[in-house]
Amino acid sequence: MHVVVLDLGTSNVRSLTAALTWLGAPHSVATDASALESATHVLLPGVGAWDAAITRITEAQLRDPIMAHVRTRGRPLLGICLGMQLLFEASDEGTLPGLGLLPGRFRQLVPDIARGHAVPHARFSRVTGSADTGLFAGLAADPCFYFTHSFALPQLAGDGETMWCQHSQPFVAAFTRGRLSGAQFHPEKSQGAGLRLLANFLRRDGAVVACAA
Amino acid sequence: MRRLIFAVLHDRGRFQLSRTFRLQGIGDLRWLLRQYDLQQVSRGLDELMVLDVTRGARDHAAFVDVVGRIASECFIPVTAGGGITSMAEAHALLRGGADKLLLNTAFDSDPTLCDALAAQFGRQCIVAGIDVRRQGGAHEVVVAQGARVVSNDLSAWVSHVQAHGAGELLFQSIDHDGTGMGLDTALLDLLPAAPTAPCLLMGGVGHVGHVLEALRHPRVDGVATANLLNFIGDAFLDARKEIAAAGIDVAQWGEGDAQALRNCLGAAA
Repeated sequence: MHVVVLDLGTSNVRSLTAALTWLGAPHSVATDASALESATHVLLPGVGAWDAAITRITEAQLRDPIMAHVRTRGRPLLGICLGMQLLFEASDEGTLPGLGLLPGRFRQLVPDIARGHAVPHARFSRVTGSADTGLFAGLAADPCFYFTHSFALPQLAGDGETMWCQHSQPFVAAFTRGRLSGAQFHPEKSQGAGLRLLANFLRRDGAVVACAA
Repeated sequence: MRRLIFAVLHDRGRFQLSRTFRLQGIGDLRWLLRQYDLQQVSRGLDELMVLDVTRGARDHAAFVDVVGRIASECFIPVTAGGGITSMAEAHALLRGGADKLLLNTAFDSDPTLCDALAAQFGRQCIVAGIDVRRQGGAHEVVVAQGARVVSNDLSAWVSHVQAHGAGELLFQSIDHDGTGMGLDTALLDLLPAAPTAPCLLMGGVGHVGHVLEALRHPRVDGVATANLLNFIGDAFLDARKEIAAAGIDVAQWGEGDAQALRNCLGAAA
């Protein structure tokens, strides 16, 4: 196993590497594509603004190497927060196109103060719809994870596990589609529950080849 | 879900107790880590704040180090701030392990910096610290650790910080700070219906009953306490259980999970 954390420059990479160190997962941090080929698993974290992150991916020429990791080599990738959003086509937050590995557009969350739903959604919230398999294996029913975001994915097509959160409207909290996984929340900031989810992701075999994302 | 937050106040290597914004040094980082097994303590918390309350000349690099040391001990969000005056300082804190930035005086002295930080890191990353002092029947907003009055209109100041990128609002009552007499929830009644950002309240927590009382206020998203001595040991976990038992919606996690997972992937190397 070798986990590569892609650093887009604005994300809090250190908290993610602290979690990987805790789990005992061999890992490195990369700012360009050179380390991706040897990665069994890629983590794509991100905080910050959509257009700035997309621009960074383009400038660092990461688009094709990310595709190659997932599609050519058939290895798993987990996008976290903005990193999950970037896997999709578009977001209300920016004008640039996303990586487009999955179909969908992120929408701005609408506050509902009467129900205590402020925006940004910045707190621990319950996640539902998980089975005791895949990313959520070994977790309690409806576990709590830490979210901090203003944009969310209202629906997700295709086969695979989909977990949901509710914050003035329902949105996708986490998913797996083929070799791609995503978490709108921060597993590295979500107590033992988040560490367990990360471990579940990393226990997926990184060496399977020729599996379309 | 409502939040329970612990704030540690840092002044040039020493952690502080604050009473009405006057500081008393308690111990250094070694003392803090000895008193508080942060991995353990954080299991009862939604969030940790590390605030640089240094009076006078700051050592920003040392503060970044402290934030990193603390952040690496716990798997919960960490907000760092106090005295941020540049993009470079903000970036150093985020790279050092902070998830969010607390800005306070900058909303007065350099609002364009606040704009730039929100544009770079997203407004969910920007917490506005709003320090409030009662003056007669009114409330004045102060910055620079209480030294400068910037507004006599709390609502107008909230609009100002939100217009300059604030994603969350941390209200601190200077009059209640460190007194243990309860939080000043009345502050939030002064606000218009408008602030759509989460509102956090700090200053005056003496015991868990105060936290409970404040969390029952519909506008309070979370309560922070900076009292270094009130919640030692498992006190936050116990407080959380009490809050949940009182019917307030707070996150609950399995206990001992993080410990059980330590080095669980090591054999796969």
